[in-house]
Amino acid sequence: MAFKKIAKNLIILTLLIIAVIATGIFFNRNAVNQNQTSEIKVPLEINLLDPQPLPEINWTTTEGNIFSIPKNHFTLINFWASWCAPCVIEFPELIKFAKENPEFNLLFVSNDLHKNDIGKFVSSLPERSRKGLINSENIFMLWDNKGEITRDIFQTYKLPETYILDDRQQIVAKINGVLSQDAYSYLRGL
Amino acid sequence: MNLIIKKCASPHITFWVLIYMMLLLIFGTIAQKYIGLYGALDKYFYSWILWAGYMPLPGGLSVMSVFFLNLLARFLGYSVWTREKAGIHLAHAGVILLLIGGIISGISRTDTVLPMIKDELRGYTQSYDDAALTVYKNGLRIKQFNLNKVSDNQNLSHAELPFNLQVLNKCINCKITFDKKSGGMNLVDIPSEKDREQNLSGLTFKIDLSDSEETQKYLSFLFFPKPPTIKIDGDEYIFTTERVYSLLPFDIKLESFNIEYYPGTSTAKSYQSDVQIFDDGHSVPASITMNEPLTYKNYRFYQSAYETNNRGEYVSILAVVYNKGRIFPYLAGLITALGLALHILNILKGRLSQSAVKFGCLLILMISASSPALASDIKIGTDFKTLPVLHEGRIKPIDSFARLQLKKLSGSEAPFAEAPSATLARLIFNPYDAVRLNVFEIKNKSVLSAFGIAKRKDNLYSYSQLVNGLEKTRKEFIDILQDQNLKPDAYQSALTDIHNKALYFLQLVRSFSFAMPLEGSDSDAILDYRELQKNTILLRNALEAIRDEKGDDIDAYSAREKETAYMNYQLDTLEQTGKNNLLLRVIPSSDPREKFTTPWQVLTGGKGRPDSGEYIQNWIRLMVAYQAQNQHIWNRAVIDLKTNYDDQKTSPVLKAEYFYNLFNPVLISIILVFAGAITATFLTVQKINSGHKALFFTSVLPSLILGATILFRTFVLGRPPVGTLYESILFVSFILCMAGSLWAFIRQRINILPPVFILSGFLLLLAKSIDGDQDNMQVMEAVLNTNFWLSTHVLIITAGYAWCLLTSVIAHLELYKPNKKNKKTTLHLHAIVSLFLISLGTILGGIWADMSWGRFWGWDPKENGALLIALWLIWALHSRASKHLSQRGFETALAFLSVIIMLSWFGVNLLNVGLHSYGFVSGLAAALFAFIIFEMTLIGGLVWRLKK
Repeated sequence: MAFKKIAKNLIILTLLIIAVIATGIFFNRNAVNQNQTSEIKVPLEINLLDPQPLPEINWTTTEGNIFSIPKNHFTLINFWASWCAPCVIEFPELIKFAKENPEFNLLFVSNDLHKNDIGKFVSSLPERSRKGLINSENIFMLWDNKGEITRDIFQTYKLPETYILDDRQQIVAKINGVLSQDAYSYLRGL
Repeated sequence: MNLIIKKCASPHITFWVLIYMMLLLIFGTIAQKYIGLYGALDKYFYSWILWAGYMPLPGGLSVMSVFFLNLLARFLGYSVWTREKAGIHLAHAGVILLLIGGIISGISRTDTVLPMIKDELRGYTQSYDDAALTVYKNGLRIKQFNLNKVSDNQNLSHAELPFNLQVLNKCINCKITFDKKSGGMNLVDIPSEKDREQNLSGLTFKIDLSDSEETQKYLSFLFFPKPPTIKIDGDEYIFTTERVYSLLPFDIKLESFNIEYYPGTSTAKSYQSDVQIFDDGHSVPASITMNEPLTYKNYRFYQSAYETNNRGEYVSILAVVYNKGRIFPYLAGLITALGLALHILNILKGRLSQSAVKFGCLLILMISASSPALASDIKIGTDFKTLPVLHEGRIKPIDSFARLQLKKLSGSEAPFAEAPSATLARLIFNPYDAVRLNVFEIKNKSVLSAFGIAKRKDNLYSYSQLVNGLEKTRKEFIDILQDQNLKPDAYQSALTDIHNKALYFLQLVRSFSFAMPLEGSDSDAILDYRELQKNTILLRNALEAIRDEKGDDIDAYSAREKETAYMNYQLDTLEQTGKNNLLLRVIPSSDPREKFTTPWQVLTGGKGRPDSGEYIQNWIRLMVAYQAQNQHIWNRAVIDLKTNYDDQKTSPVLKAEYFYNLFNPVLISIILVFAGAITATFLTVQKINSGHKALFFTSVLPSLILGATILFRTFVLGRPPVGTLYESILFVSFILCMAGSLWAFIRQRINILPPVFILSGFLLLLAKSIDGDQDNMQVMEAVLNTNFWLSTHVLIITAGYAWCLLTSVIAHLELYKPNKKNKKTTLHLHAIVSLFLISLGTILGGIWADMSWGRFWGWDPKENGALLIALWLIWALHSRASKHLSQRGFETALAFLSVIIMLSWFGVNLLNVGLHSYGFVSGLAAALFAFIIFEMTLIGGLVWRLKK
């Protein structure tokens, strides 16, 4: 067994070890960090939908007038009823939001059977909310007493529910139940 | 020097050390079942001495050291770098580097864990299992005394502590006992748990205050809610037992933790921690997911698990590894694989050109399996059968869904002489008929007699037959479910089973109950749930008014009032049943986590959206057409639905799966493989060796069909088809058939085909038998859900299994009929190819594990299984080279490879421990045992025959 052979093999092995360590150091340098920027967080209760155009709907206001949604604005369609406790609680919050964010249309679609119930409810609202409702130009009170728009078109069987339309009047998201503060801040960011 | 190297490099050492390593591996793996992973690691693998009773044996570290020196000496003293031998030497150098990496990791590596909740900022990690007495002064941590390093009666002190602390007794795993006299608690040392993280570590101690005579005994253990607290000179000292902390050179904060589920299930698809690192005034945001760790300053953070704490918050669990030798296994593995590949090429050189590969012809098999004609109902049609439904996290055609449901209920995919989808249509569209269909399989006689039903030959019964029995045994069923400690006997299991089936069945038949006419509707105004629901408030108010006036006595109500009360009742009942109806998910959902939902969930769960209305309408049209037996409306509704669903872009995959179901290619493969075995046996006996057309069909057809099956599954599932045991068996059979046929062609040796086909036939039968009433196309657990690793590690390792089996078959043949020509190189080549695949697959698995969990090698049973195969092959190859084994001995060793494969493929599953949980199967033990006995007899017989 020649010493030369041993030395040669030793050199080969040492070179291999050095190569491995060098690669390790190189990769460690390069792998200092890997950053991924996270997208805007969507609150859990907001269900994003594939954008789809709003179907043809014959909206009627509580006064019995035909209504069409003003264009070039984001729109919230809130399905509610005066007998639905959570809807009643979120009502003033929604009014506040719409007043602060005039770039949004806010449509309250009532499922009450009798118009009286709506009137009674509105007059029982706190002073500020009632004024906000009457004076603002971006809040609209609509009435769907047969549930045709709510159930047959929007498939909403549980109140409250709120749909979000983008400025091209496409349905882009839906919120089951009451909007959380996270949801309001998400909407503000739109 | 020369002498030392010569002694160290002795092939005797290699021969015996490899044998000892294999034994150690087997015992150490089995021991995991009894003393846990850590216990086995300490006793067998990470020990210098292994105590077998009172007898000292070399432990894992000693053996590995000897193996390392042996290999190093051999490499240094005997490697001559010629072109022929370069591959071998390179492979050996790779193994040496691997072992050097092991040594470096052993010295430098620390493994800790970092559990964090949202917004938590931490500058330290904690040990998995080591605990320490931790002293806080005024809320600040002063000192940790590691319990592993303190002993009973030892005095502990620290500059910032104005007292001495004397350990009375410590226990790594404590049992808390209560002293009846004093009412105090004591800690008693008990043996360590199998899983050391479960140990309850603690200690009792007393504190000597220099100015006071009084000493008091204190007690502290992990998770103790009220740690001892004392006050000295206005300072408050708290003594807790906590995990040992290691400081990080930076701070890390968990910004958020997110889990993504498979649609409609609670199986996690993936989870992710968004963190922020704060270091020296700057911050770095990063994300950590499964398989994508974060590396920062030699620390690697892995997303290892998550749990929920008692406040209901998610706790993200990050494994933190600091390891300087991390790069070694990567490159060492690469070098070994490269060396083996080089060696294989070297052997093959000049041999492949002699024979041309004759494959090239593709056959398209069309079997027209017409669905049986339906007795009276409308024709269901292929379009209906391929409508999508979301089930167990995957969108599949109605046909697959129907097969699974029917198999679940009746034990058969098609219990009647009609397509499964047609039976499903009866169940969901015509409940009045459905309850009379015999779809419930009951085999247990005690259940039948408890239900009071006479036994039928086909063991199938209808819901209407079962109703009374179900009602009678409901309480018994609930008791069985609630008794956590109960090990149910055959009767109890069967009873639970039939109740579960009934619940399942009811969900199915009530899928569209919201649209069925309610009792009390007039013929001119059909009233269903939806109509009723629109008037909920009206109905509720009306009932309220009636009750205010007449109370709860129904008899006092007028006919009209009774009707109102009844409507209210129906509304409530339907809503209740509807809430739990989660099975037939065919309507697009507004919930982004599940693509489709059930119609009932749209109605009661708020999951509808404007476009789901059209789907519901069309499904109701289907129902009406079915009930009215109107083929025309049915066809139109199916076409409309199809158009609706086509927007979802799932159609071609669904069609593919439907045809897959229809042709049942696995069954066809089984038939072809056995037919192939018979033909090949006939040709072998007749000594027709080549050029025969039958040979082509015999060998190519099964491979083709199996290959097509695997491709199909890849297409349908959108991932490599090796995620489950079922799939890996299919894949092994395919490789075995294909490589076997290829070899038979190239070598012109048809006698290899019968054993190859019989073996793959039995493997396929095994696959069929483990395929219960679950969908065999499953979604994957989070850790397995990466296409890259599935397609590399798993594919290569399964191909390795197949090649080992082929090698074993060839070895059997050599023993049966020694082949004079070429006999040395053929087997040798196959053994090297097997070794190459197994080693490469194992190394890739190690890299995958390193990426996912932060450890290259974890002594998991499946890993040990693969290592055992590699060691067996290495041992056989080296023993042949060093003449410890004769050519016959080498052949015998390779023939036994089949046993080694079966042990490490299926055998380790029987241990039911470890990470590779995809393949846990029960009931395989007997088959495995029979196989081993059979092989021993066969190989023993063959060797004995040769000797004679």
